Amino acid sequence: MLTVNNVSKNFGKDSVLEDIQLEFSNGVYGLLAPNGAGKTTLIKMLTTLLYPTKGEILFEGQNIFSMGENYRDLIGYLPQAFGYYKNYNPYQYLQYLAALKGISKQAANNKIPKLLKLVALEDAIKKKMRTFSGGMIQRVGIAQAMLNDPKILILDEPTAGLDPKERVRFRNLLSDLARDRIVILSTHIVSDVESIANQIIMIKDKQVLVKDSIQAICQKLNGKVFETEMEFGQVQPFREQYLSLSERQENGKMLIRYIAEECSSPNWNQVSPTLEDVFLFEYQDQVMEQLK
Amino acid sequence: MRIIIEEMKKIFHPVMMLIFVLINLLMYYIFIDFDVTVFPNGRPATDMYNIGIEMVEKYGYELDEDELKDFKKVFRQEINKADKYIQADQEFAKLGITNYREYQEMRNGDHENPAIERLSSRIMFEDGVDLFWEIPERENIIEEMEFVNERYGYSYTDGKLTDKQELRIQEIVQSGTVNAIFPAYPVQDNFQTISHSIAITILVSVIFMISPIFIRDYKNNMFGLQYSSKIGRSLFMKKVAAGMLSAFIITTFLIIVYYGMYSTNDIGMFLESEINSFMGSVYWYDFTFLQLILMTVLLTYVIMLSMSLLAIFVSSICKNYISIIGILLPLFAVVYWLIKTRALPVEAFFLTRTQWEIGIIYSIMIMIPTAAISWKVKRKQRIDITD
Amino acid sequence: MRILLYEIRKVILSPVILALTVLFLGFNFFLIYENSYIKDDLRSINQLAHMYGTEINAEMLKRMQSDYEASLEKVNEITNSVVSKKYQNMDELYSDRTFYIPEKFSEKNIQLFNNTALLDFYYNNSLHIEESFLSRDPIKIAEYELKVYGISGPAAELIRSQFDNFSERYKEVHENNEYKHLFPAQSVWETHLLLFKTMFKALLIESLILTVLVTAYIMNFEFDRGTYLLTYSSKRGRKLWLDKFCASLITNISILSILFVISLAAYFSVFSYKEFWHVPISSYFNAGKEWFMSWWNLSFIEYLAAAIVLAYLLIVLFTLMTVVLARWIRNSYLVFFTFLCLFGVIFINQGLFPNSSILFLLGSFTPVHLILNSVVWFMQRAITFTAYYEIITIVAWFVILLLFVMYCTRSFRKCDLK
Repeated sequence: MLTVNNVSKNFGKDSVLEDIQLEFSNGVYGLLAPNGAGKTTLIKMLTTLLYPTKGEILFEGQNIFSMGENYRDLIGYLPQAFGYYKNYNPYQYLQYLAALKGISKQAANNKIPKLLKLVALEDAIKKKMRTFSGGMIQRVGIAQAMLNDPKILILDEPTAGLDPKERVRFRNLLSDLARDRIVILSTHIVSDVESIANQIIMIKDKQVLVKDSIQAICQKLNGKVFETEMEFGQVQPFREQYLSLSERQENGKMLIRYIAEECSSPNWNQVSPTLEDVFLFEYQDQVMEQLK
Repeated sequence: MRIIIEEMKKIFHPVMMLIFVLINLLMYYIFIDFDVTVFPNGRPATDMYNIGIEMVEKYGYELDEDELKDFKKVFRQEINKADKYIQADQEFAKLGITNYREYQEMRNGDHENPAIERLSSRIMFEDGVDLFWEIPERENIIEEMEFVNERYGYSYTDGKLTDKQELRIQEIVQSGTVNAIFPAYPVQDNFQTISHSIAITILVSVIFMISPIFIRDYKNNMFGLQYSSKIGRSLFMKKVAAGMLSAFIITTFLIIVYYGMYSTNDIGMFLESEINSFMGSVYWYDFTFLQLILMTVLLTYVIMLSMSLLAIFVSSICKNYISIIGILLPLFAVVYWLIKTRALPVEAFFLTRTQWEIGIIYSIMIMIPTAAISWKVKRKQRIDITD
Repeated sequence: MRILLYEIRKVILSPVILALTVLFLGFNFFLIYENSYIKDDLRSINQLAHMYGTEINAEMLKRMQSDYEASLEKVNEITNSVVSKKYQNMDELYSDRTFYIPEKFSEKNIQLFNNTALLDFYYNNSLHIEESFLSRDPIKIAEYELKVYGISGPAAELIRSQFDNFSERYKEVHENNEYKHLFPAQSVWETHLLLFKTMFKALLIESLILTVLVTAYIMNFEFDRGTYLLTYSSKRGRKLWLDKFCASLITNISILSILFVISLAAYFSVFSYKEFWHVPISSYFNAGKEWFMSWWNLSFIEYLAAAIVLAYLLIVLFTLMTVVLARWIRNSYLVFFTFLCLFGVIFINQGLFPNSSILFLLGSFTPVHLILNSVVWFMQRAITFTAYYEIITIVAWFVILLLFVMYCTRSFRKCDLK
């Protein structure tokens, strides 16, 4: 059990996170928030790279900073933009990180081919990483995070650079892994977590907005999401009245999905809300600003 | 240890090794080669060196009174030989010179006489007659020995000596150490230049190899992964250790290579000689030549390790390679100057060098990098890793 | 133009470059300070030159002689009254060991002695200047140099074939009286060494270091910061490389100018050359061990200007050299050390050829040899055998390096940026 207790983080005078209260047990957690909301800061605290300005983070009741390497031994971490040496091949690179993670050379020798097979890189084991595509690098990163068979797997934007096929593979892999460990997956891409996360954590205004199952979160908007078709000319005034969630052209008309307090026209079809709807609803100010 | 080895693998990157070899080839060729291949360098260095060997073989490492007498006897024989040479040579006769003394007097007295200049230039340079080179050197040695009480230690101190310096000279003279046979010129002088060149070559090599240690990881965006792995912030110390170990290996390797080359200079017979010799300089300590060399090697290590530590520190605070070079360059210039003028034995232990000055230089050289690194280590424990 | 300014700003705002420039200036001030003990003497020599003019001729010598004799008489009056002795010349007085001058004579008298001694020195040397000049046979000196460097075979023949030019210039200097001028005597004050060896070498090496750092920094800035995908795909595209190249040139030239202007201003404000700006550099008083006349009839100020121009050209050459390296090596650290190696290789290139080969002679026609030998720029020397040594070297390397740069420009335009 990983507990984040009243944690705040300031950089100088700027406050990034305030009074964060979270608990993690085995399962996949989706950390969902727009860019700049403090996801990476939270994750860097969970990986001991940043120190909380206030509060504490506990693993099984012990402060992770006083646990030191005993704690870090339990985590696997894939940073957002992680580094590698261009002239190393994946084998050398993983061996290097294995050393840092305190894994014996023999153990690493056994583990590395398996991991590389898992991320479908077994053929590239002796190729210099400078020749790799972004997706290949990302897969090496995933392999690296699992090197020490972590109890807590922390992945910051892990699907960046992966193609749809790889994404599916990756999601299945994560569900598999999450049976007996904590998997924290930070992303702003809703579809990444929609199908696999047991719980979603949203951060807004420096604080935890929700931490709940997808179902429970979607419940919030139950009966408020509608779809309707209209002429193009009508779209603009409609948008000003309702929060539009998605728009697409169909049969020469515009199919629009939006939020409204109640159904006020027979043409409106009530639909069941998705996580994406909630995301857009919750962060609508930011969405609006971005649209402008 | 595995982490240290992994880190060292990065330090000994093949491209770096290639440039390392190139730097060493060039610096060897430009700075060291001459003192290895051309020793002793010309005349009278060669003559002095030969006389030195002759003395050590005949008298051992010290020249006592009987041996001095013998040496004088040899000297007189040489003069006799020179006399015979002069009498056999027609040109001397033309100038009215019948023996060596007359020749010497004429040379000293009459600088403007072109005929005598021509003649001596012929026998010294064109014919290269050993006798005429060796006799003045032998005469010098005899004089130095006979006037040792009056002259020893004064010639290069302007006669202004502190009490302590005075005492030291007295000590050497009275203990008889001064009788040591050690041709400081050219043996000590050659060692002095070559030990400087070797130290500077190693310094450049070590700084070049060690400096990228942290910035390489920074540039490759490795910090997040490294410091969140099990080893965590203690990786910093491991990397420092890896850097120092590499510096030690590089230094050792280059010392073996370059001093190995130096050993081809044939100075083996003087290794046991006391360096405080009437034929040479005054030092603060009673060392044999071998001990002097070992001290030089030891202090070379100290300089290299402390500069490596400094380079490691600079690497850990810099955000780009140009800053590293920009910061290390002036520091290198200072250490270069120290090596050239005072920091290495030979001159570090000269009577003219106050020993507290040397002490301070080395204290600073050891303390500043150590303090900087320990500050950085402590700080590293506390600060956020944002890069 | 705006792009250029942005590129220059990147390096000017780099604290390291700024700090190094300041540090180098400080070092140059230190060099001046360390040698400033000759400044009073130089002022006296200026006064002397002011009084008699700098041109040595019969009329001037006459004036000098009468002043000298009058002055010596005064000295003798004083010595006669104090130590009851008279002297033929000042040397004799100074080498009299029976008393200690500062003890016996007042400050004012010593001042008179010094002035008389200076007059004595300049008068006597001026009087015999023609003999001294004629005793230096340029061919003999050249032959001696050949012997010292051990040059033989075709190389020696090539040099000897230039001997006519050597003597011709020598004759010219003799006939037009270039050598017959007063100047701070090299044998005593070594001002040529101070300015063109100590100061110039420091300035040149400092600028060289900054040149390599600045060029490597600017050329590789985008690769270093990982912004290259952005910048080279912008509208300006690969032409940005040329902008960077120009920015390096401009910055290096500016830094060189800053170093030169400030350091030389300090130098000339400490060491007075008031009377000597227009004295020919081949004045026999300026002759040193390694040089005694220039290939061209240059006044001191012209020589200085030529030297400064040459310094600029050299810095441009080294900028080109670094640009070529930085094209292929994207790590500025390695660029710096590769440059050092290249510098070393060019420096020792002569070791590859036998001393008899003409290639051995051509081996010294490099910017590296030029930058390390500022003291003998434009001077007649056997080893560089032609009056056009500097010009040939600069032009040849310009052509070679420009070709390289052009090749680099083209190859960069076509290269893949991963």
